[in-house]
Amino acid sequence: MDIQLTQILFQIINFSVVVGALSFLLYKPVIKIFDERSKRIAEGEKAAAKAQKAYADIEQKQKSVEAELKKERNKVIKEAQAEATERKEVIIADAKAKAKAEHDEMRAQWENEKAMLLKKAEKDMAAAVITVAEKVIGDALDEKKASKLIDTELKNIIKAL
Amino acid sequence: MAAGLHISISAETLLNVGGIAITNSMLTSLVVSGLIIAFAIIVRLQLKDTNSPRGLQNFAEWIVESLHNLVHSVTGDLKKTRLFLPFIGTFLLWILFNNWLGLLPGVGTIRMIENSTEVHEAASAEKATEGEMHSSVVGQVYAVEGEEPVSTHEEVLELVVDEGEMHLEESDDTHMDVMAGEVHEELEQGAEEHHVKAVPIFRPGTADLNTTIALALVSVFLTQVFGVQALGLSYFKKYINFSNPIMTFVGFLETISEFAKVISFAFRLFGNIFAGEVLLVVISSLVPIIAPMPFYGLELFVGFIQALVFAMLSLVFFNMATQSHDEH
Repeated sequence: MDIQLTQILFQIINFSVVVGALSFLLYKPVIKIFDERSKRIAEGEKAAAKAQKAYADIEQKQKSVEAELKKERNKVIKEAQAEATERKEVIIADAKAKAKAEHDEMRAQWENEKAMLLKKAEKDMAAAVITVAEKVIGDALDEKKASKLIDTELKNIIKAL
Repeated sequence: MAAGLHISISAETLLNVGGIAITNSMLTSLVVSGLIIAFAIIVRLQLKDTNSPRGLQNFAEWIVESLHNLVHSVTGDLKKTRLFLPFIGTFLLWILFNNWLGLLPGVGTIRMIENSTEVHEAASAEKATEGEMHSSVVGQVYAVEGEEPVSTHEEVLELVVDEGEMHLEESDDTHMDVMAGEVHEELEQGAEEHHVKAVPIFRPGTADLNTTIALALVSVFLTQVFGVQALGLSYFKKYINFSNPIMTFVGFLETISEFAKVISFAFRLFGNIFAGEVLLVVISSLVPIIAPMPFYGLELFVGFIQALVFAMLSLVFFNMATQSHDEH
């Protein structure tokens, strides 16, 4: 084995040149790129975290607003329902009252008309019965007979009705 | 078959530049350095600050990130990780590619014919001591051709044959005929074996002890540098401590261990890679087809493991050096 100082020195210089060249041309620039990329990624992550937080805040706000709106809506619905129920009752009561009044009025009117018609019919019938009886019997009826006949016929008519 | 084997424990000189012998392992490690630097330059030119890297940048980022995570898993401190990363990363990549380059076809097999005077002289001197006829004749040839050394195989053979014939003319002894024939044959063989030396152009950088010693020295030197940087001069209390006899002895052991580190680093890497090279050469020369394949797979694995072991051990030593003695 031939150990030569000049060859050792040559190889030390050779290796040192490669270290220097790789340091300058490869390691430092690539590591600089790594650092900048890491920085960008860190910034991106920070921005993403911030955005996520903002999104979470907005979501929270939205939820609280939604809850408030729901509460308000329920309140409004409840109030409306109460008011509607109240109104319904009032309207129904009014309607019932009106209907009753109209019914009563109609009934009264009907009763009057009925009474009037009955009276008129009674009169007409009485006249007709008397006429018919006079024609059939050929005899004039006295007042007592006529009234008895009328009552009988009326009862029949009312029964028929 | 065995004639094709070329195993040399030390790296072989290819050429001399300004008095510095450039060996085949130096050339390979220069090629590796060049390739790594070229890759780094291409990556640097293509780097873009993007969140979705593609192609080469993606690959380079994967390498750097893996190395960063590896170093950080040991240090647990970003500052230390950033400080150690260039050295640990380069140790790993440089050693790995030096190891793996030795497995490429052509490395160790593409050879250059070496034709230096020193080699011929060394070879002839070596043979002369063995007392072989052809070597002594070659020695004479060089003695004759002292002013103008022979440089090629053909020239050596021609001169030796001429010399043989000269001896034959001087003597009528028939024995000399036989001897001249033997000399010629031996010279032909001997010249091939010793004088015309085929040197592999490439040899794995880490299969040369000089390279592994250099790496080990860098690692141990950096350990001291990081230690002093982190702890100041109190770092040396680790080695020189006269507070009590036990600590003095421990300091002595620590000092020895630093030298042991250089030796263990250097010989572990060199031994593994050189042994792998020898294994591949022997297997390939015995059974050139299919049989070497599992060994290539094994050497790929060994190459990676050795690079990782060197880098991880260096990292652990760096990290330990930056921790105060109380933390130990």
